[in-house]
Amino acid sequence: MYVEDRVTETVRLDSGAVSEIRSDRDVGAGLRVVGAGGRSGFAYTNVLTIDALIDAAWAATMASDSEASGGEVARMDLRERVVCRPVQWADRPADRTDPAVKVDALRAVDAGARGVDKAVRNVLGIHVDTAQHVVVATSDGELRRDHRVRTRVTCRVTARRDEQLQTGFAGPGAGRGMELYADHPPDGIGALAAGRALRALAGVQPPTGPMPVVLGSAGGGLLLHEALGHGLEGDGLARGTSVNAPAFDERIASPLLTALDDPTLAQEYGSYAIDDAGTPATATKLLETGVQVGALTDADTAAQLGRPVTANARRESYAHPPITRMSNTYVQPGKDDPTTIIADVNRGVYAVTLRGGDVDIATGEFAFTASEAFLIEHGEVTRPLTGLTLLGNARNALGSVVAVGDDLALTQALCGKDGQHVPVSYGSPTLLVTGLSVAGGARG
Amino acid sequence: MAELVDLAASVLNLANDGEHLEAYAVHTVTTTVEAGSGAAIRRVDRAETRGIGLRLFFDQRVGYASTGDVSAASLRASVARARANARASDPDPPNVPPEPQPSAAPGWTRRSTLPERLEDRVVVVRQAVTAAESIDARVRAVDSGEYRDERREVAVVSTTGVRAQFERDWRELYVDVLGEHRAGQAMDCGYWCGSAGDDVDPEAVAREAVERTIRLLGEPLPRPPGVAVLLDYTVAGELLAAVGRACTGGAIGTGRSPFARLVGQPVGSAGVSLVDDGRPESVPGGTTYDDEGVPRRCTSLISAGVLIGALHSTATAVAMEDGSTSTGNARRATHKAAPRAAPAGLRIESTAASDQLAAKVGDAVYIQGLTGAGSGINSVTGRVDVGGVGWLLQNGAPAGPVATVPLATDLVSLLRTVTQVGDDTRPHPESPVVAGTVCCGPDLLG
Repeated sequence: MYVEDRVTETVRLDSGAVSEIRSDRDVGAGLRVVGAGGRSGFAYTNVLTIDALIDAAWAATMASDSEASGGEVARMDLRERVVCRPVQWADRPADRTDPAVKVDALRAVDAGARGVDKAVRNVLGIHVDTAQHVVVATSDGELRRDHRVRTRVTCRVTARRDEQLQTGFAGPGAGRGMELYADHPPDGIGALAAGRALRALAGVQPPTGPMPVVLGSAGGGLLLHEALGHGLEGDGLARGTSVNAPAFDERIASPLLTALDDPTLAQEYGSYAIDDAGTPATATKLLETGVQVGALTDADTAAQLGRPVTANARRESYAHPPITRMSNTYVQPGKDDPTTIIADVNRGVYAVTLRGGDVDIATGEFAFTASEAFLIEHGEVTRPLTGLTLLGNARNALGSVVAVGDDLALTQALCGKDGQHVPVSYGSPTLLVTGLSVAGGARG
Repeated sequence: MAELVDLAASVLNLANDGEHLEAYAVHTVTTTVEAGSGAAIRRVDRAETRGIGLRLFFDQRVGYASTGDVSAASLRASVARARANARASDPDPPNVPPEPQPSAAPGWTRRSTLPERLEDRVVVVRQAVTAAESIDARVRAVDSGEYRDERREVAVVSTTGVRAQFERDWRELYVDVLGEHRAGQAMDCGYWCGSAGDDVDPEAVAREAVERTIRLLGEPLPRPPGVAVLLDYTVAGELLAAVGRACTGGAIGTGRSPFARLVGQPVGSAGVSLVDDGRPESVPGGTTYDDEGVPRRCTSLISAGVLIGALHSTATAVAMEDGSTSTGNARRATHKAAPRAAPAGLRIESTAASDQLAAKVGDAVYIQGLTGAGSGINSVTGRVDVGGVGWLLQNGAPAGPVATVPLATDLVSLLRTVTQVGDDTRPHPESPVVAGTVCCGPDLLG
């Protein structure tokens, strides 16, 4: 049984005016019953009375085993045998901060964006903070707790010049409170998003075809998240539909790559002390010098795969069943100087950030769109590019990493899977990849 | 249902003088059954949500709050938070509460009931998976088969006199099939979506999944230059969903749309006509009212290629300052979300019989799915930078897969290349869009 009490505060500043301030409180319990043969039943309720919880438990039980029928309700002696210290905390709790303070921060984001250039037409800033108490109790008598806090501010800038529109985005987040703004001054967030929109306006069409691609930390991190991480989630592996399923202990990537998923990173956006099935969080090595060594599991998929439980059961809320997900996924830093990596490329592209992408986990084929990219000519970053798409195959791409920088940085995002969105981080040092193909088209 | 209306109405007396209060109460029950290989049931979920979302209007400002705890104390606290949030907000004169409007249609849209028994749902998904596993030897596994149905009851009441109650029932079935060939593997799905009373054919969904997957198996063929492009209904639906988002009043009114300055002008070929109709008779899961309690209606967006309309909530209509009124397109994803203008049942009108499209176009690239659509379709700039996954149509029949096709264009250019729209229209799996096969000229791929 997963019980949650979550308060979410949201402030939106659109075109310089507050368009929405909202406070949402969500309290509820999700109950999961695993019956004979591995069939699981799930039910949830946001009516937290004993009677309603028992009703939900019976619904989940009957769903897990259609032969089940009503029986005695017994009391259990639940014990918190393992106390897990929260890995997210707030020095300045956002949920106890006056909404006017958050409005002021967003006004600074707006001013920072508009101060970059007159071509900036619209600025949408959104502040979201959550404070979440979680209790997980299992029928083996264990009870575990976690307290999670997350704050994120996103800025989307629309710039127009000569009838052409482009957008720029920035969205730092953390497992902390209002102190997020100390590390990421709001005017800088706006300026970063505006700069990206303006560079896209000035961008030229990318060259096309296979060529060296330098990925910045956000770009390389997304490639890792999409092209490797999703393929190593336990549910796809257990079904045998992931291209990574038969590849344990095989080299599937460049020997320069060692990658981890680590939910214990202090105050990181995708962190937690226990996963949403109550398992204490630990770091999991996914790649060791290019060899696939780990999988992201929960108790069910670990049992099916014969692998360790890695505390990667996550859910969007009490209203969703837990499924295997990533937390904070990153490539360990290498030894190369990022400027040297770029200097070694005669002609190629530098994808600073990717806007997102899809990977077919059955084949490993993917397509990513760059939100900020540049041409590399004779070892120098020259003109900005617009409309750049990277096409490739996960194994080819990860296997063709020929340089790894020493500049690891993490990016925060919401990751969607099976209709559930959970906060994650991903990152890498600067990477040089030779097995990608660049596509692009006319300017929009 | 009366209980839900009473719950929503119970907060209205908490409004102070000079304030307007709107309460949106929702009760949703969703049941999901998932099966894997061997038609073994992996998962059965029953999800029940009850909650209330509040909008408090005061001095041209609006504050929002919601709670899933519908006790009297929690509702009082939520109204107080909404009031505090309104006071910290900026004036937003167009954001006014809707006035009550007469509607001849009843709020009850149920044409029959969803299955009462869990086992009735289990049978449907098991039939689909069993069929998918037995149709063709190239099927290596069924990744999953999933049946889902949902009943949502909604009540919207406000101190302006709105009192709307409606229900939304729908159900869907999909099967994901993994196929294998010496050149590699491929996965695609069959899908069905309907209202509560519609009959589902699990074997037809399985056949579709297998056929779609098998077409993608094999050594990729080179793409011949200068051939027409056929967009599968899923691809057309994905792209039209972006067109719909770009045609909302908020996007056009604020300039965040590639169509912002094109109202009254051609934005597509003469064969493109696009309407939005979210009523029950038009789209599965349709409703008679939108999420502000405004009656839904049919709105023409593009007629013979010319952009003529936009989709409005109450606020986006008032913000236009040209006499526009709500088109009944306010949407709340949940009780926690503020209403925003959004498509409710976007439909591209057909111009040709789908079974004649293949014969008319001759050889073509058939794009069956997109990669990178989540981030590669930008409804603000109109840019489309995605990969197309598909196969070659030669002499009217599938000839084999093509390597991923870069689709780099923009929404207006895309609509201008449309030559025919098939009449095989059906609901899109993830968007409120009804689309058929769309035929585009060869210049779509550059």
